Parts: sequence; C-alpha cells; structure tokens
Amino acid sequence: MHWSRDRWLVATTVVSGGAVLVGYVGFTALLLNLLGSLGAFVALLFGCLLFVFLVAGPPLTLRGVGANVVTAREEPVLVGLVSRLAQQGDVPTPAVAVVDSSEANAFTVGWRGDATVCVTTGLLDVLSRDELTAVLAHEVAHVANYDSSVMTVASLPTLVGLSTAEASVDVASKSLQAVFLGLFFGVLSAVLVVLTAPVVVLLSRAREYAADRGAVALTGDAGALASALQTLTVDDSSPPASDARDLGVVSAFCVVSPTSAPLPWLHPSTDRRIARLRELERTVETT
Amino acid sequence: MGLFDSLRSALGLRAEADATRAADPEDLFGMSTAYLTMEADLGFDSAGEAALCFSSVDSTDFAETLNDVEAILEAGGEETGTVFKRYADDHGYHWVVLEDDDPEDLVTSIHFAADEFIEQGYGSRLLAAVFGFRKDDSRAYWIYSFRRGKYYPFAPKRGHERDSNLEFKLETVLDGELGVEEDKQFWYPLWPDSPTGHPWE
Repeated sequence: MHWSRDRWLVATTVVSGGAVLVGYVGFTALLLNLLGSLGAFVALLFGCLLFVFLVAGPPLTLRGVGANVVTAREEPVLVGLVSRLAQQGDVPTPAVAVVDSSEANAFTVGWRGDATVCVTTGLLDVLSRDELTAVLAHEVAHVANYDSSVMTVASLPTLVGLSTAEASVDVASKSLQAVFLGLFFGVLSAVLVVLTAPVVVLLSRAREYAADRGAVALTGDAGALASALQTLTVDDSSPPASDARDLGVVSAFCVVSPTSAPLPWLHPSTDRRIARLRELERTVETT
Repeated sequence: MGLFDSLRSALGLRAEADATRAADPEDLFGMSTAYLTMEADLGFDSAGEAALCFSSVDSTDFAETLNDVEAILEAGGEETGTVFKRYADDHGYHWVVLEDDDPEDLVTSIHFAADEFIEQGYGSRLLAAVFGFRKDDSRAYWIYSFRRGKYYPFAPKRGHERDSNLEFKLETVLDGELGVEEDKQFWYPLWPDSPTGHPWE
C-alpha cells in the first residue's frame, strides 16, 4: 500500500507530548524549589492521584457508563472484527464492551494489553459493516498508541485546575475572610488551566488525527471512516434529550465528541478530519 | 516489548507504523516438515486445504495485484494440480483458499501468493496463512501471523471455545521445528463463519 508519513502531524504529537513531559518536570522542580519538603509532599500527592486515575480510572469509567463486556459467542462479528484489526495492527486483542445508549459513539479505555473498546448500541444501529470496521480500527489505533493513558496523564493538571477553580469560588462565597483565600487559589488554578489547556487540546486533536491515519492503515479504506464520521456527526444533531448514562465522562476518548462533552474542542472538526482522510485516500490511490 | 516501542506508542506514532510495516514471510516454509511431524507424532493429517487471509484495499492498484496473484496460482496449479478459490468472510476479510492433497504444494503455493502481495507493496495487508489438519472429529490449525513472523496453534470447538489442551500439545510438540509465538496474547482466533467449517468457509 502506498503510504507516507504526515510529518506535520508527527511533529505536532511529538512537540505537544514533549510539552506535557516538560510541564510535569518543570512543575515538580518549581514545587521543590519554592516549598521544599512541603513541595515534595504535594508532588507525591499529585503522583498518587495520577496513579489512581490510571489504575482505577478504566474500570470505574466502564462501570460509570454501564458497559457490558461481550464474548465472541455473544457478538461474533463485533468481537471477530476487533480481533482481526488487533492482529493486523500487532496489538494484543482488547476486550470489547457494549454500552446501551442510543447516542452513536465508541471509545477505548485502559492500557495496551489490558484495554477495552466500547461501542454504543446506537453506533451498532446506524453504521454499515465497513463503517463499523473503520471506527473499530480507529479505536484499535488508540490502543496501539496508549492514547487513553497518555490523555489521562496530559489532562489531569487541567482537570485539577478546573476543580480547584470551582472550589475556590465556593470558598470565596462563604465569608469575607475566605475571599482572599479563594481569590489566591482561584488565580493559581486559572493560571494552571490557561497554561495547560492549550497543550491538552493540541495533543488530543493530534492524536485523533493519528488514530484516523492508523485506522486507514489498518483497513485500507479512508472512505469508510469518512462516511462513518459523517454519519456519527449528523446523528449527533438530534440526540436523546436525557440519556441515563451519557458519555460526557469519556468525551476525551470518544471517536466523535459526544453531545454532553464538557470540553467539546478536544476533537478536531469532522470537516477537517474528512478533508485529511480525502488527502490520504488520494495518496493511497495515486502515488 | 522494548523501550523504543513504548516510546513510539507514547508519542502516538506506533499504530500507523505497525499497521503499515512490511510482512515477515521468513519462517513460513517451516510448515513443510511440520506436516510430517503432525502426522507422525500427533496423528493429525493434512485437511487438504490451506488459505491465505488478507484485508482488501479500496484501490485499483490492489485489484490489479489480486489479478496477478490469481494468475500466478493458476500457472502454478497447472504444474502441481493445486486448485484455488476466493472467499470473502462475514468480517469483510478475503481469503485465497488452496486445495491439494500434497501438503508440500500447499506450502509452496501459499508462499508464492504471499510473495506476490509483498512484492507489489501490499505485504501489510496479509493477515495470516492458515494450514488445516484433522484427526477423527477434531480440527486444528497452524496459523502463520505475517505481522509477527511466527506460527501459533488454533483448535476451535463448537460455540467459540478453544481446545486449549490440544493447542498446548501442538505448541509443545512443534516448538523448535516451527517458530512458535511465545506470547499467547498474540494467538488471535480466526473463528469460522459456520460452527463446523474451516475459518475460510
């Protein structure tokens, strides 16, 4: 198959991934310098929080959205497709789970070797087999690239910043003396969010593009993924008003941004993704 | 998995690179002698069929490559008597199925077909070569994974169950003669579309 790397995308993933690493190292050095042993304690606390998110996050997420793991006997086509895509991509076969939700989407959680690919019943209803294969290939590419873990590590500082900002507002509204305390932590949190959020958005979008390319490398069919993205985005416009188990908590991991996403800009626009897939199709067909 | 692989994953570069990596057909020929061992030591005869599983590419160039593969198999068939047919399974994967009572011819034909895919630049589309064996009522397969350049056993039972005892036996007896995949995470099943059929039926 004719294939060439997208150098710009490689540079973006490497630079934004590097920025996350530099951010962590810089933050730890700053804490140690400014606060000494208290800083070391805070860094350790943050490390523990990260560890808990990485280890306990996937099972809690699966339970939170009501995902049921299915076997080859229950869902032969779905499980068979994931297994073959995994073989093609040289990754250990991930577990497959189905979420009973009319919102058509798919996401992956967990570490390579212990990952779970989840699809909603809505997704299975609206996509053709080729489109489903393309979406599953996108998820298998996420597994190969450790995306679930990398995005957890990259986005944790922003999430902490957002929660402490919210807590600061609460504290400040309690009493006059607390206003200064709230203001102090509020400004710190805002600085953290402003510094980290752009990197998270850049990294998340780059890795979505990388998973799209990975999916086409696996299936050899850029058109099917483009058509699946189109279907999922159109389907998005008329979502059920209140799904008991919405996908907001896993929005960063979804193939398209779910309707209840707290940060909808983590995904590139469908039009841009399709434009890139069209370019890729041209490469595969003509060079 | 090495540190370098982990780093490529962490940087988001691995999925694309691994999926487009060329196939590794080096150890495919090990099956020629394995047929003899399967019969002599385990009582498993050749099922008289072997198959090559690949995923298609939606391009005219790939369609031409397929025509070339068929032409090569037709030419080879005139000499060896190996008959082939095409099959598309329920998962959207394609198969070239070869029939011949002589296992040696099956291995050679699979190798010719795989080589043609690789030469035309479509080695990464090859998923597996599957060699069938039978003994009374039980079936067993040796699957060659082109991504990893290794063999692994697959013994399906009814209801999407694997006969792990039999797979263990095959692995133990043939290890050394075939390059057997050590990490069982990569022993991907290739379930047949029908409960009693071959993976290519």
